[in-house]
Amino acid sequence: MPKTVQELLQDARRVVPEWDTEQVRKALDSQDWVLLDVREKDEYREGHLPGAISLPRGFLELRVEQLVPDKRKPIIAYCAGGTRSLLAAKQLIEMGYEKVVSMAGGFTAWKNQGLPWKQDRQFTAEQLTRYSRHFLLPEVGEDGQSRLLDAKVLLIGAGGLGSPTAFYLAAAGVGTIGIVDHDVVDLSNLQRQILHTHDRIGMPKVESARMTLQALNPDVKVIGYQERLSSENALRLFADYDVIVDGCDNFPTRYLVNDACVMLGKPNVHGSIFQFEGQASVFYPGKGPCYRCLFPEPPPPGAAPSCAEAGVLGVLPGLVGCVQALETIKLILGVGKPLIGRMVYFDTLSMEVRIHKLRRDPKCPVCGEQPTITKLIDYEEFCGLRTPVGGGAVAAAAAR
Amino acid sequence: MEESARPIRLSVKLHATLRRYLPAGVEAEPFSVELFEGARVSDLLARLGIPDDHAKICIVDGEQSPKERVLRDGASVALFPPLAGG
Repeated sequence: MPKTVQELLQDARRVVPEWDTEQVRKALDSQDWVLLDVREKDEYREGHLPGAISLPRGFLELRVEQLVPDKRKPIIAYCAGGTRSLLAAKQLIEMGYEKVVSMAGGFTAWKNQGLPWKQDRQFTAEQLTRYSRHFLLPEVGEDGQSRLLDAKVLLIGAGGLGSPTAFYLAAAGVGTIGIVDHDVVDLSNLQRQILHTHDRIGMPKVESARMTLQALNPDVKVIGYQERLSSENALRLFADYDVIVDGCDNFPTRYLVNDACVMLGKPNVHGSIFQFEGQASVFYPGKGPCYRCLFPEPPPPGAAPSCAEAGVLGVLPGLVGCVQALETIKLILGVGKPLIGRMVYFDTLSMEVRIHKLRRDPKCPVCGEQPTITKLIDYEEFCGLRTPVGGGAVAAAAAR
Repeated sequence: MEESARPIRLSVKLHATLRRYLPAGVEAEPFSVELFEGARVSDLLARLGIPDDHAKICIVDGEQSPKERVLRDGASVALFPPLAGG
């Protein structure tokens, strides 16, 4: 038999307890409740209770099991005035949620009583469209997108690895991307370094990268450092960033990036390649091994040739650089299981992908229990590319 | 190593720059290496002629292992060098 709205609300009141704002406030202080805001997205954006999950009523049945998989979890639903949340709560009870209450008076009553509420980042209309596919993912959503926009990521190198990493970080809306690279665009780079273009040959890579990234996403602030990373500038450059992405092309810089990250406690998203093979990992100080735990000493000079010496399939850094971008985004969002203590290894000719568990070395000279390296050293000398002071310079060319 | 000890057979794979140490005649990987019971990762490295100072990760049966680890018969060993390129 058809029912009027009043009858529907009466039906709901028979099964849904209605709590006033004071009861809700006390409950939130004392117990692990899920707070569900069932208003439309634009209402939520204008202000909501702290910790509330936005789930507009139109999507309630479709998404609630993804957001609240445990049906024993108690839920407080609220809307603007208490009507929509009453109907939503009844629906949740019918879906098997064991304890659901509706907040009488809704957000309006809450706010009028001077109780705490917050307003999220106000996205522009363009941002709402640009990041709409992220907003659909509960693991990202508006909160995650806001974190991405606030994040600062420093890329070491705008070459084969740095190119795809930078592209996807910019597309994802990582708000500040710093790039350290002293080099200029060369014709031989264009087989794989997709940030750069033929008409920019001779242009500093950081400038070319800035042009490409800002053309893709004007939201992103790109800061170029056209200098060689060194023991003198590394700590200063890293200090302003949340995540460091190592896409460099030589061992002295890899050890320098590692040591500086350990000293500053910053995550180092590592990627490296050779011909048809590549590897990636996340070295997170205090949470897993560092690069030196795996490779306490560099290989002898000449034993591990660079891409310029040994060649590289152009698409390979695309694969590894995308893994680095993905891991960086996971770290920023705090979702999933980052590659901490694990290394992914790609052998693209056989298309074998392996993940190995890695161990932290308690005797590691930089992150171990009794570190012997407590300040940045001369990494060219450490890698045997320059004899100690007084011994005369030998081939110091970085592996390019 | 005791020559009288029971032989063990390992399945070995070398990666990237370590491929230069593939035994002569080996074309497909993984390849088989025979050592003796009680042999360690370091014995395998010596057999393959990989210098001690060549940085590498030794993965035995999927886990990073120190050079002192004793190998079991049938173990799968993969050796990975650090890669410079980017």
